[in-house]
Amino acid sequence: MTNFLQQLINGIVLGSNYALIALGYTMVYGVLRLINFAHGDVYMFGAFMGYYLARFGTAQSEGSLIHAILIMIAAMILSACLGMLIERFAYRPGRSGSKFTMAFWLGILGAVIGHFIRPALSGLVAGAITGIVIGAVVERFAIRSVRRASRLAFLILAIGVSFLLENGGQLVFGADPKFFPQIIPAMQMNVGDLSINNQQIAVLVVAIILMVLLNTVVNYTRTGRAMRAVSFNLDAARLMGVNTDRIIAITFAIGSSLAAAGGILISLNYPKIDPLMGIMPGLKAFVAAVLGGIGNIPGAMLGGFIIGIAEVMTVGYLQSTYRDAIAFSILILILILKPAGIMGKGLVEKV
Amino acid sequence: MAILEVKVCVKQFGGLVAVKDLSMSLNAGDLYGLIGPNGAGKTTVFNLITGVYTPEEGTIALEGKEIQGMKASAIAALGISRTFQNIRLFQSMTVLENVKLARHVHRKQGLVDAIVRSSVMQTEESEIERDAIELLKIFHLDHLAQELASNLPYGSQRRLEIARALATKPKLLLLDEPAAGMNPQESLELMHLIRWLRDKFDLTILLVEHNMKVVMGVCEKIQVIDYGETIALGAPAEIQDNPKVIEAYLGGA
Amino acid sequence: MKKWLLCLAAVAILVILQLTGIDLLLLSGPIRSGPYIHQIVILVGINIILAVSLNLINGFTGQFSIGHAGFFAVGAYTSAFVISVLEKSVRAVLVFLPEFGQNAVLLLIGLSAGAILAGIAGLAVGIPSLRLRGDYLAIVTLGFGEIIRVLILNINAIGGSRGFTGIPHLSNFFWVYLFVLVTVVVVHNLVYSSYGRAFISIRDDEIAAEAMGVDTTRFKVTSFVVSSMFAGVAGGLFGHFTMYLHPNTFTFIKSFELIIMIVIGGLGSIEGAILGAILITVILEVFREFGPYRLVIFSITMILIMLYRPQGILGSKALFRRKQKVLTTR
Repeated sequence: MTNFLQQLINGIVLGSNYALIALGYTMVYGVLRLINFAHGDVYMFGAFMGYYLARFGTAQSEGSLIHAILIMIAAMILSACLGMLIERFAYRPGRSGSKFTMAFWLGILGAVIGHFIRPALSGLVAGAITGIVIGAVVERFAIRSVRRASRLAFLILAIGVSFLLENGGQLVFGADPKFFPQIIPAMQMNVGDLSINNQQIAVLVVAIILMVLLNTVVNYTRTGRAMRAVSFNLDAARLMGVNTDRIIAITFAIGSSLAAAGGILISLNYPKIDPLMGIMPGLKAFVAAVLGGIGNIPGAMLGGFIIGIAEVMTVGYLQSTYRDAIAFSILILILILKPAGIMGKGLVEKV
Repeated sequence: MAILEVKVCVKQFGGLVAVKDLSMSLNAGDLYGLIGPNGAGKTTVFNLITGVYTPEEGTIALEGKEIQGMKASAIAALGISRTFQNIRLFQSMTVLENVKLARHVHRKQGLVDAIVRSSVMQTEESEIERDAIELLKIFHLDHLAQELASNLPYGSQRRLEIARALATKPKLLLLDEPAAGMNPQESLELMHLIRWLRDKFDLTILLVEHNMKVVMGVCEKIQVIDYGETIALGAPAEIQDNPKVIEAYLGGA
Repeated sequence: MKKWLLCLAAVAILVILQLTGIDLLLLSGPIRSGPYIHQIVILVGINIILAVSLNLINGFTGQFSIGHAGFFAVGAYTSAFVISVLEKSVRAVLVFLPEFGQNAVLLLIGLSAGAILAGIAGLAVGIPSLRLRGDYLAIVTLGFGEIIRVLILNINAIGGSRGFTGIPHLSNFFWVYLFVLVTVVVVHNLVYSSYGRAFISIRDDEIAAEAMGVDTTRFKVTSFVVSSMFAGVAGGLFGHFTMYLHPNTFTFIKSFELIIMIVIGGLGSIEGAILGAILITVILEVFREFGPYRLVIFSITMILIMLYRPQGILGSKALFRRKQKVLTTR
């Protein structure tokens, strides 16, 4: 029995991690009706930001709580910025066209090629500038605006962004795994036969705080109301005066910061981080979001916990090699039995 | 025997009862109209008959055989075809291909025939092509055969949809607001066309329409529904003077 | 009809020659340009089979499946396993044939097994999945692809996480490109038939297709199964060329690669799928010396293409715009 409870605790901890990531998926799907495949990689980015901040940020006061919280907030902000960048330059063009898209991407391409030719800062900068200039010129004179992307094109686009973050991560951070430093002193508590350590408590506490905060924002603020309006009907919301572009950007920002928080929290428990760490959790968190009902915020939280617990139980009672398959099996089951998810409502197509 | 017999059908969407206790009886060769104010449930009835929805209660029978609950494609194979309120042509196909597709339901070629291009398949393809062009000629669309369906003007698209529906060789043809967006001249031509189609192809036609001129001019029997229930049934003249009908359309005085 | 028979006869002769071991045209030896180029050419061929078959379900039937690597894996492992079991006995029976001919027979047996099992997998995946639409379908197929991979990882009889070694080298340029031809011809014929119209009608408007008598579920599954069978054949050809299999080759990254191929070439265009397969395979190889920069540049290019030319090089539906007059002149 205690083993079961122990597994349960581990499952809830893992699950809160998935829940944080799942929230990002579900919110973006809610406002855009599109799956942001790259979300899992923002989680990875958050973890890495935390890593660099912790390693090189401050030399003193290592292990203090304030220090840890500051690191997390900083990483969350950085990831929010990344999320907004992605939205602005990858997804928004397909929705409503946007300027400087070509300049942006060619700038990045230029920076990469430039650095390859000359592996120094000068190469990077020179390449970037070349790219931006070419991009701006092409945009101005040769290309009409970006076409409105179909769902399929969007999915592939998102996959492309995901690839970019993963491979870019390998390029910039290096492909070998790094070890997240202990920013909270390790301490283990024993309640009877159950053990729970500091890191796990931190995960639970922070996750709960963030979810409560999110809930407050979504349900009790004007911005939250605007977000809900946009998720019901984007065009109607725009007609009612809501600045939909801004709201969507905010949604991405919030979702990305939550994912980053998840990234750091998980690194407390499993300190090995690498640029590809976001792939599996991303997919599983997506399953969690679908399980709970995609677009439904409490559903994403619930789904996250269920997937986390299921995974830990599978490893504990079945075989650990099946750990990845359990999430997908749940996905398939739910899509066959109740595609709208546990808390979702199905949409009926008008014939 | 009635060609179509709808008995006491109920269709619900969540809490909303779209169709309540609806019955309908069509005889072969009827030109039957289904009218009612917006939201009365007319298209839902169409969707029930063609198998897009399954009724919670009641039965629908085609020539005595119960069809409620069957797949739409199976119902189409049995002889019911339709057009749609919002035109649903196959956008990436040409006019000719749209019509040819509708012959699929009666195909003889198997998968293997198609892959090896057997003589069965090739003869059938020639037949399909010939018949399709004949059908397009009737609707004066044959000169547009190689045009993409999406490039056609609105009126032609509507005619194409009817042509396509006819290619399935139906016994019962359901037309969902065929006159929508047509000017008086086009509506008049449509009325002639509908009557002519019934005679030439030996069809029964069930029509949903808001254009009263067309309804009164074409239909021999009219059923009026409101809030998913029948409120009147009879010949055009009776319906026009029926106080309940007037009230449903115009609201109480 | 006459042209058909001639082609068929030519192919049949070549096959018989292979079976009896007469290596006309030196088709099977390494191509003169060297083993590296040879490998790329073979890989291109296999990717063409995968891309063209994937295009049938994604491009023509409009169902977004991103689990194709799973069927590729099923075919590869099945063929390898069946051959490993049957090799001795088959060779014993066919003692009268030169080794070459024996190889050919073995390969055909392996490929058939691979195709059949991949087809069954396609059925198993397709039936529950194909009632879903759009994004959901994509994710479920992805999920199934992963499940297949995890299952393979756990079956020790086929190597599991150590990989399957010692697969006999049975495939060569001739067989790979013969099946490229077969795939292209079959898909082409399907598309230009009543079935092709049915697939495309499902892509364009499922509800209208159903109303016009097309059993959409059945057709989606059919398209899926045909597609997965070819992926299985590709898998068998692959395994018997590389002589080693590992589940890491068959991740969703491989599935994405295939998607990129058909999108770049132009969804719904057979020529597009071929072009995309050649292009992407070659580009990925050529840029290998760019090291870690390679995939970064690749992803940015992908993003740019999806933003500015999502219809690909040849444009979607480019194929169907061509007349079907070919059929009426007979």
